[in-house]
Amino acid sequence: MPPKKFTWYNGIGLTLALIFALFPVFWMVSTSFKPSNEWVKQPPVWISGNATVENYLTILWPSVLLEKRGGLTQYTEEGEQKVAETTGVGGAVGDILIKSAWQAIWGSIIISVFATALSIIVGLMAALSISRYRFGGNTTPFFILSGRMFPPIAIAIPFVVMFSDVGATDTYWGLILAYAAVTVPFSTWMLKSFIDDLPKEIEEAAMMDGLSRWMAHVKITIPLIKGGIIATTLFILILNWSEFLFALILTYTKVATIPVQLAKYFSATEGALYGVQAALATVSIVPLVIIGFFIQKHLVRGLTLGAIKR
Amino acid sequence: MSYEDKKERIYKELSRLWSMHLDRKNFKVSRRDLMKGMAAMGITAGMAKYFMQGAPLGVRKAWAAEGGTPEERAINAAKALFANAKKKTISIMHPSGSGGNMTPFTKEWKDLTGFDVELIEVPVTQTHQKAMQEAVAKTGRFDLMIPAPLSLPELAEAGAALDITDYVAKYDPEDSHGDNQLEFPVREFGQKYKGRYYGLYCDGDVWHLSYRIDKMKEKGKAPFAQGLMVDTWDDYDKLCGEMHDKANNFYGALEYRSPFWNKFHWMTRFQSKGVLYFDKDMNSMAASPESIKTCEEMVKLQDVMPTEQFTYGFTENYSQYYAQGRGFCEFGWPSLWRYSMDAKGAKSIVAGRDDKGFPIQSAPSGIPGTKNAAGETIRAVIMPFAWDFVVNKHSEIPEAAYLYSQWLTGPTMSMRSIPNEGGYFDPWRRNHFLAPSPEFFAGYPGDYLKVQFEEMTQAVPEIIMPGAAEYHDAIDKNLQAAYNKQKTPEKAMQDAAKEMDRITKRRGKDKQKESWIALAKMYPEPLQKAAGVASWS
Repeated sequence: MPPKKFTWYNGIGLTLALIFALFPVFWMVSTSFKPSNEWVKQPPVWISGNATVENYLTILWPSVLLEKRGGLTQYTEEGEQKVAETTGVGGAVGDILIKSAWQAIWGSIIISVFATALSIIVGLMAALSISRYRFGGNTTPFFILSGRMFPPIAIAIPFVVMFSDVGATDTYWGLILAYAAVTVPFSTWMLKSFIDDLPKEIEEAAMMDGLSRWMAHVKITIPLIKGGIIATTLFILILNWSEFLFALILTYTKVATIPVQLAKYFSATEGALYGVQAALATVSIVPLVIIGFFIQKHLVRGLTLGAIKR
Repeated sequence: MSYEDKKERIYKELSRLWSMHLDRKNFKVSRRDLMKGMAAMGITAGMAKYFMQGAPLGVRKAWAAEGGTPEERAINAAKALFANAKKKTISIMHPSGSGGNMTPFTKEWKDLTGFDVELIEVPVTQTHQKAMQEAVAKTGRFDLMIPAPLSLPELAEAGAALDITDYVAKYDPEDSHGDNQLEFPVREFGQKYKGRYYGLYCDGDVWHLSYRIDKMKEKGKAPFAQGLMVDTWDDYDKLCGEMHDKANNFYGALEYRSPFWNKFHWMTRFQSKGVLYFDKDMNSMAASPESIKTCEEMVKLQDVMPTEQFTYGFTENYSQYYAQGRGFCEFGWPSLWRYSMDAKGAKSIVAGRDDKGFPIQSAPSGIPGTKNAAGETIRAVIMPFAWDFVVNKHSEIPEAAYLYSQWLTGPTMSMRSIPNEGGYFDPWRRNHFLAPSPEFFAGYPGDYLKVQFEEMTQAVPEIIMPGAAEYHDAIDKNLQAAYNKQKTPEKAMQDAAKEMDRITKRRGKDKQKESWIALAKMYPEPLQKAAGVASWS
């Protein structure tokens, strides 16, 4: 069949779709460079004529803003002191603004990466056992999925109780376990669908050639569904990266993540610091965009795996 | 061996031991004597420890009440508790942005008492949820929390907040007497629930009105009185209309009409008409003629407000309009005045002062009121938010945690803590207003402290009772519908009343009524009188 001609109305349609998809990203990046008096201006400022990096400095290097402002006045037992951190954003000097967001950025990276890895490993094992060996019968997949059938808030408090009892609150490993537990149903189901679409005769052939069951999966099954694994990994990574509820309730001081840090850029007197939030949001999408860029080939393959029925 | 024999033997033994002390020549101690003596000492020490609640030789009780100030009493008692405390760090869960009021004093507290302080920051919008989580989880991970007074009823009912009435009686934070007290009625509804203390107040979030006195003078007008832009709401509406100059991008009023913020205006204007949120039988008064009239007045005032009124809250109104010289007046928290006077940090262009440092562009004013039949002006100055130190009921060191809060909210310490940048606690004790330190005054210059002192005595609460958030939401969204002309004021207020009554019914009318009457008894006296609260039971 000859390829379809790309018509002008196709172009308009795609352009509109592109604008629709990219507008939130444009607005976020644009806001991240606006000074505070342009964050919510009417009519809106699309691209600031007074662009500033203060929002980025606030989250990454607040000490730079200190020098500009001349310090933060605090009255201690030694008398008036100038503290060596502050910000200039909107004149607000809440203490949330005198600490950088690095702890949250590193926290998100560590927790998301390890939780995703754990979720994929467990999910892959579960998917193989269900798809190839009907482990636990036909109802097991639904039992696994039932973990996602109620709102996370319903299990939030029991999580706090259990995690407190075993000393897992405010720890990286605690949050990694929680995230993995919550995302395993997704990884299991997604990976199961990819394995289901792979003819098991290929594995059987490999076993006839002398491979054990285990090695047949390692050397045959997993490489053949690589695209699916990568697509699932990215999906789970995004879920973990943007998770808020468990990060909020299971952390106190030692561990922080970006979504919780974003929520902290709102205080009783300063209100919502949209520019700072936009700057942190922009920084936070960078790793995912980079990962997405490098794996796009596998991603497309993974997302279309099984699209053509045997 | 009979009882009598045992008794005689013990007497003999005791007299022998005693005679050993009297007659030093015959002082011989056998191993058995030594063992007996040691055992007796051990038992005595154990009993003393038991009766004196774990303190060494019972000195703790004597120390606890010692000290001439709340801070001294807190330090002495905390010092005594330290040795036997199960935990040596007091963990405080606080709303984001408020740490600057505490961090500079952490080391000082540790040096004085031994207790370290750990600050756990949570997003300001999540403090209530995180506190309520503790009611179920009972982790004791934090010892103190800083929720708004609005949260006190639910935290108390849920078992998350400790009733600190006994601690208050024992250590006396001087919140209700003396030169440094917190004024009535804020000390009541800001700290208590059903007559019991559940929090120590730490942030005086009572509203005031900042206005452009220079613009008034330009138009040949004068304020109603010192510290009062106008007397009544009618005068306010009239003046805002007169000051409005849209052609020059100058707006007469900067009220809040956005979701969440808008109800505060209704609360203060409506109640100044002498009617409270509910009647004596816990029926909503949102559909009363006074409430509907209030809503109508507020809709009308929108003509002299900026177009962004439906999306702007406090910060946006301030940073986009008032501080930029584009608005005549704005209602707000004490920080409104503080920021207005900060030309450098907050970039205010209305911070002008004369040679003596007295503000000449902006002036602080009390909130307008409504004249009653007798010609008296009734004011109902709303206190939205504010913050309290609340002791976690599941803390391992509740007493030490309480003592820290008493120390930091003491007259001297709060005077030092409030002016700190990096936090947002505002003045609340009498000495803050009447005898401010130079650095304190620098943050709140001009007549502000005098004006705000008056405001404190006329403050009214939000709906501080169980279900507060639901009641607030019912009012908020129906007011919003009226402002957007989706409903008439009458319909909007009738719907709000219906929703409020439904909430009451669902939560149990008798239980809600009990909480409401307790709250109503904490209103300023003129409002109690106007609403006839004295006869409610």
